[in-house]
Amino acid sequence: MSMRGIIRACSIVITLLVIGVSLSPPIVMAADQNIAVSATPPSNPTVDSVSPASAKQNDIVGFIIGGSQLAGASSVSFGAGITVLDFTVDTDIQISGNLLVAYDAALGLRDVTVTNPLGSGSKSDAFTVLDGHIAGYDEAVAHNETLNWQTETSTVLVVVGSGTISSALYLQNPVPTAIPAESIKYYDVRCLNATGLTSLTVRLYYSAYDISDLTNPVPYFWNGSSWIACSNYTRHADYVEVYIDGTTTPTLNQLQGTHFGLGGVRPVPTIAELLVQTTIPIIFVAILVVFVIAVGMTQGLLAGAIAGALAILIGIPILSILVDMV
Amino acid sequence: MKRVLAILLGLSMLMMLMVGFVGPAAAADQSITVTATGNYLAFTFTGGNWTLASGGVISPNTNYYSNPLGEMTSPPNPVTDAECNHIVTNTGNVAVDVTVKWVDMAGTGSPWVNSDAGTNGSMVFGGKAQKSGTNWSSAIIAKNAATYNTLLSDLAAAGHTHVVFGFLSPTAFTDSNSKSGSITLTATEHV
Repeated sequence: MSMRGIIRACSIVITLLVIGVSLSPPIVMAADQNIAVSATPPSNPTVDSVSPASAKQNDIVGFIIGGSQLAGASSVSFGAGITVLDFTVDTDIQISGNLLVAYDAALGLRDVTVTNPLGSGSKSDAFTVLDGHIAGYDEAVAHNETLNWQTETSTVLVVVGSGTISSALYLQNPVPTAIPAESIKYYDVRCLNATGLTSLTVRLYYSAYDISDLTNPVPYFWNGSSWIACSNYTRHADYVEVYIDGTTTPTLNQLQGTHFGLGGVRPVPTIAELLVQTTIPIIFVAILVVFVIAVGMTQGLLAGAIAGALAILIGIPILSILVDMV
Repeated sequence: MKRVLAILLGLSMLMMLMVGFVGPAAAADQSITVTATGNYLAFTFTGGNWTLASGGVISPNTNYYSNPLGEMTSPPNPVTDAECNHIVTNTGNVAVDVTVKWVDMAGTGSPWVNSDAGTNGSMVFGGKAQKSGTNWSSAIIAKNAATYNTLLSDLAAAGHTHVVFGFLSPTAFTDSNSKSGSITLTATEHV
């Protein structure tokens, strides 16, 4: 090879080397894309509505609160004298629960407040405590003594030990659930702190008017959800005596705004009574019919008609009296 | 002697060529054409930003979804395209895997921390993601800390997939300030 040939060959080699370096491909190792996410947490709750708007002293009632940002609520308050027994956050705009109005809660308006981790929200004058002691109410600090409140609340309480005892009388069933018997009368007996009490004997008095024609009165107590028959009681002429201690039903510790109710049984007439009740009116009517027919046949049609009219005018009142008597 | 001089001259010219100098009349060039295509990764991500509760107040301990049919509506099993607010499209020229990252939500006050477990707590949120055609019940966790979970695997060039995200809000808040963060999708070449 000539010198010129050698030089040309070297030039091509060098040029190819240069081109090869310039061919390195562009490699992207990774690619990113973003989206922004934003959110706003709740702040203080608000209370817009409360239902029901009122309850009586001694009442246990369910409630519903409407508002906003209620989720996460840690407490619900209806003010002094009202205990919120439980509550559930149904949604961000509703809370439901149950409350107890103390027997001695001050009457009047209350603010309703809901608290969540960020603060509180209230509705002023959203709830009213009404007078629950319709007929009578008594309270005393007793120590081994007998509290005779028969005139005021139809109760006499024999206290063994020490405690603050109160009693009230209702004119009607204080709870929406019917007593499991024919109702006679309703009372309230309370001892919020039974630590010093050994036993309490409660005499629930009733009149002949109260019991009407009912028999075998049974005392029941309201356990917050249903009427339960008291375990230890005796019947007397015009009262039922209920003995309560730590082992009875109810116990002393259950006297926390406890409603008592007396229920009786309407007697079922015997067969003899049913016969008398039906036979006497039938015989009486039969006598009148025979009398009218006899007059008509012997004295003429006009006399018979007059006798019939008299039988109706006089007989119906007499028949009514007879039915009442039997 | 002449031959020695000729060899010396040749070596000198070769050295001059190696330092990039070639005399105009010293050599003739030959050119060749070489064609090469590099691996190119790129993708698009539609659906826009996600403002929970339309800018309103969110509830604690509540699931939210980037679901066009309803932010409180959990995507079904399997997830359908209609319930995914976002579409990932591979605009590169190679198949890719896509991972997802969700950073802590920050703002005035304390941040909401990503639990990295899909669970929540006080000031702690959970993030999840899923693609169309797979069950939401097996949604992957969108973590803040590496290693990130793979949302899409072997997404072909020019291919696309619908995706949906889930946000489990904290159980409690210590302030009422708005928080914001970002979800980052990262595509790498599928191997």
